[in-house]
Amino acid sequence: MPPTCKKQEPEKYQDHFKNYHDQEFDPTELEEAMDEVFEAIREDPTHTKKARSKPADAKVWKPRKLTYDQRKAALKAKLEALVAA
Amino acid sequence: MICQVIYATIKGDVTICAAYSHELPKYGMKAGLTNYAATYATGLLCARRLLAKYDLAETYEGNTENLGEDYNVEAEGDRRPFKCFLDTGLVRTSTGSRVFAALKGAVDGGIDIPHNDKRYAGYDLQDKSLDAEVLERYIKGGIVAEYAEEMEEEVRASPRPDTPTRHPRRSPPHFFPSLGFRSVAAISSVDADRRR
Repeated sequence: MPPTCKKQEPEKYQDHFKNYHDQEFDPTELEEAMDEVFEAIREDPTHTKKARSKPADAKVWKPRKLTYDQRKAALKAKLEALVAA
Repeated sequence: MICQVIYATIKGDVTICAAYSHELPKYGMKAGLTNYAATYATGLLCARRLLAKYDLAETYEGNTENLGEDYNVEAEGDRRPFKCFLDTGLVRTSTGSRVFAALKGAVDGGIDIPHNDKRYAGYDLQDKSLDAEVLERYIKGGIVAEYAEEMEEEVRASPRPDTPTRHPRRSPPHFFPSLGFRSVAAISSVDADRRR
């Protein structure tokens, strides 16, 4: 084996089984652990639904259209402001 | 990995029951959710969930021993076993493929799925026989554990990464005086022969 390959070896092991190490689980003991997994599945296979939280109010970027009455009122206010000026 | 039991209607397909491999951490399988063992577990989960839904779970316990052996559900009690068929979709159905791990999981979970042992891991295409021990090792993740052990061994055998090792390209050229002299001597003797 070339020396460069051998040097990378330790990191390779850590990388390869990273997800196991993150969970603090020894991958070499997987075979023993699987029996318990199968038992646990048989004990309670039902799926529990997560309670859904309501989404936050949707953001609006486009200005909402005014109704006829609102436009009328806005015009009135504008005119009054002009007259007053 | 997803396992679903589906029936078709004109309006569209209806999923009766589904199991995902990302549910497995709940059952104690922490990582490696795409390997043979995880696929088997997902199939098993789907089957048990389905049977629990139709109150068949107690009648049809399925297979809990000798996981490496092929298993077929047999009718027990008043109700027939739940029957469904494997739909692999676009998956390449080669021997040892993980879809068949899911199938094995579902069959061991007590669902009646017509099948044979030809595509399980551990099936020898030359001998046309199933090696039960190999299949069991695959199902329980033994191959993953073995590979982890192998790599760990290698790490222990190789030098620690923090010890300074000389860069191979910067190391001074090795000089083999004895070899060099001999070849030079050999060439000169050949030359001398030619000149003569």
